[in-house]
Amino acid sequence: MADPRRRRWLAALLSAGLGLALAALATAPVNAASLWWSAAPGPARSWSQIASDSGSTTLAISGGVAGWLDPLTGSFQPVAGGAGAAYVAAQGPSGLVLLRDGRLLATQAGGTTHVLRLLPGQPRGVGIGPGRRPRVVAATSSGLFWGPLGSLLPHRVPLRESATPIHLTSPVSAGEPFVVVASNGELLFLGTNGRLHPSVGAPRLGTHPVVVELGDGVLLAGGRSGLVWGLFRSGWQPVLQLLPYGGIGGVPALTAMISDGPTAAYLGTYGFGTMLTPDGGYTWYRAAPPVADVVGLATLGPVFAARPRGVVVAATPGGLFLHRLQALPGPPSYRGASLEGQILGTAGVTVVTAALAILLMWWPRRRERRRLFV
Amino acid sequence: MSPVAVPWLARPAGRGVGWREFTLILGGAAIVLLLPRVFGDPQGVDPDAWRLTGYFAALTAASLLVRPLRAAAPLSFAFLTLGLPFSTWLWLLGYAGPAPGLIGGPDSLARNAFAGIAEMVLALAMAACFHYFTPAPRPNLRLWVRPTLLMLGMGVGGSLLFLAIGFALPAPLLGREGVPLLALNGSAALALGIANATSAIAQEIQFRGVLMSALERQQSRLVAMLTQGVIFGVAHIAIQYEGPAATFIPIVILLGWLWGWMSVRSRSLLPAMLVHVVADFFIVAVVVSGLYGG
Repeated sequence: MADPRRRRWLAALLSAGLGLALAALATAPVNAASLWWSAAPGPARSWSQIASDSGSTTLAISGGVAGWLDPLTGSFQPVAGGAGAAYVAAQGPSGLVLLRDGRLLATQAGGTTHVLRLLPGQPRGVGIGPGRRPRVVAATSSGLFWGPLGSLLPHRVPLRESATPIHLTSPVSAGEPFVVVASNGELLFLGTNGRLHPSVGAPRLGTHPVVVELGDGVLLAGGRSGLVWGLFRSGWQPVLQLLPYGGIGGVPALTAMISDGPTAAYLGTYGFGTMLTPDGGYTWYRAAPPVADVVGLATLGPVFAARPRGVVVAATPGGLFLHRLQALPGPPSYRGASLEGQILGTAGVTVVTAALAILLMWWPRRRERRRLFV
Repeated sequence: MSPVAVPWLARPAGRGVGWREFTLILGGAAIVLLLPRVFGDPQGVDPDAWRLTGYFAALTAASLLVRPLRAAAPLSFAFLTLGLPFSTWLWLLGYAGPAPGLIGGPDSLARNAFAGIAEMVLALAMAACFHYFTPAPRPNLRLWVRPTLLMLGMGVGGSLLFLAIGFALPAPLLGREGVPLLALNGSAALALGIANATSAIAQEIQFRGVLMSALERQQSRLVAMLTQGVIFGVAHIAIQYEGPAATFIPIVILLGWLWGWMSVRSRSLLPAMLVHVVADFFIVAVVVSGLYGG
């Protein structure tokens, strides 16, 4: 490459290529990660739990106090007597707070709060089912207590001493069972008749399990090992394995899992932010807020839907973050009355440019042969 | 396994500079690609860049038919080899509205695998046409080569190096190619990995096979290798993904140069194919930090 003329050509070509790349990048449809999440308004708080429901407000626990949270405005209204809260559950304007001392509070958004009953044992969870007459289940180390919403939870399901409940998940469809994870790792279903039956072939989730039921009936469950399983028609299958930090550290803890719509779910982790599966565990993406330590997740309103209106709320030690669904890469839709003109214009540009390029290449060499065609 | 001497700077004897045709072809392509944005949304009317394929097809036909234009035939055909398989791949994936209904639903394994295999077969067929239909001398596609230990070593070593760099460097720096391990996908890894692997093979045939050999007819190996790398990077703008793109394209250019060097040095596309397949498979097999957040 001793010829300086060739060097200039090469430099010009490389510059043009890089310039073209940068110019195209300036207009490329790139959605940066930061656009996916925004910090919720209001003062920064420390959150330990947040309940998922379909309304605009939900119950949350901040600094050990339960209260009604509006993530879009940052408003947090503590529930009367809600100090020392361990678990919360909400459906629309109705909510339940299970305190560490075993008291179960019933509360209404912007309304009254009263003590439903005192439950024996250590609190392990509370959940409200869907439907017009939702069921309520509260789990303690003494067993499961259930009944219709508004009742005193008159029914009790005792468990073996070696299999006390450690995790409770509410169904998303009416008539479906609650899911209970026992201390011995067993995964149990609590049917509408109040009977418990184990899930055949279920994995042993160990401590700190997370379980969620999707709208289409698929169950996703994960545990301390970072392995997430899916219960499909064919049985339990592993669908995602979280890996150790940097290849040699510990596996990040799974902190929460929520479903939205028939097939979408978000998985919260302490370290890797959130993972999103839009298709029932088949594929996973990382949809992480700026703070990667997520301690709680909630969906407010339909998020992963044809017309998404709601938000995903991620509770982190650094505050609340809101996520509105953005389109995943996929085939765009092509509609519009003006397309014919655009198609003709594009075709015209192509034809004219090709003709010009051919002409400009041919013109300096036109005298090489008298015959035009070979 | 004797070392291979590569005359990087030697220009082909009896050939013109070729930059004029090259600039005209690419300049016209830029006009075809960008000018429609003035009066409409090109993604809305031509998401598969069929207009680029049509433009290159017109140039190829003219250069093969008209004697004074024959010097431009290899380059025109090479660019057509880039455009047609890629447009077909996108069309089969459903990016042009209704795609053929015989190959599974949208985003299905069948459709992804079919589109990837079709792209690879089409690229291979066009490489064969390039080999036989463009003017003599025959291009050096580096495709029909008996594997050697050097190729194997370069392929395996390059793959390990790619993974090591992917692990070591932070995702925000590397963009889409940053692959710090977060999690292993489930069944989608194999499904999409196969589709990506076939696309990777097709890209090696297109860029390091056809395009680089077309450039080598008129330029030195070094210039041909550098040029195909730049075009390889710029062409990746067409890939629709939602990650940090500002670092993605320069890294792809570097990878294009690396794979071009491997192809020239080993006289075969196989090592670059192996590394490219490993890289593309790995990108979909893991949940990549930097995509869709974080």
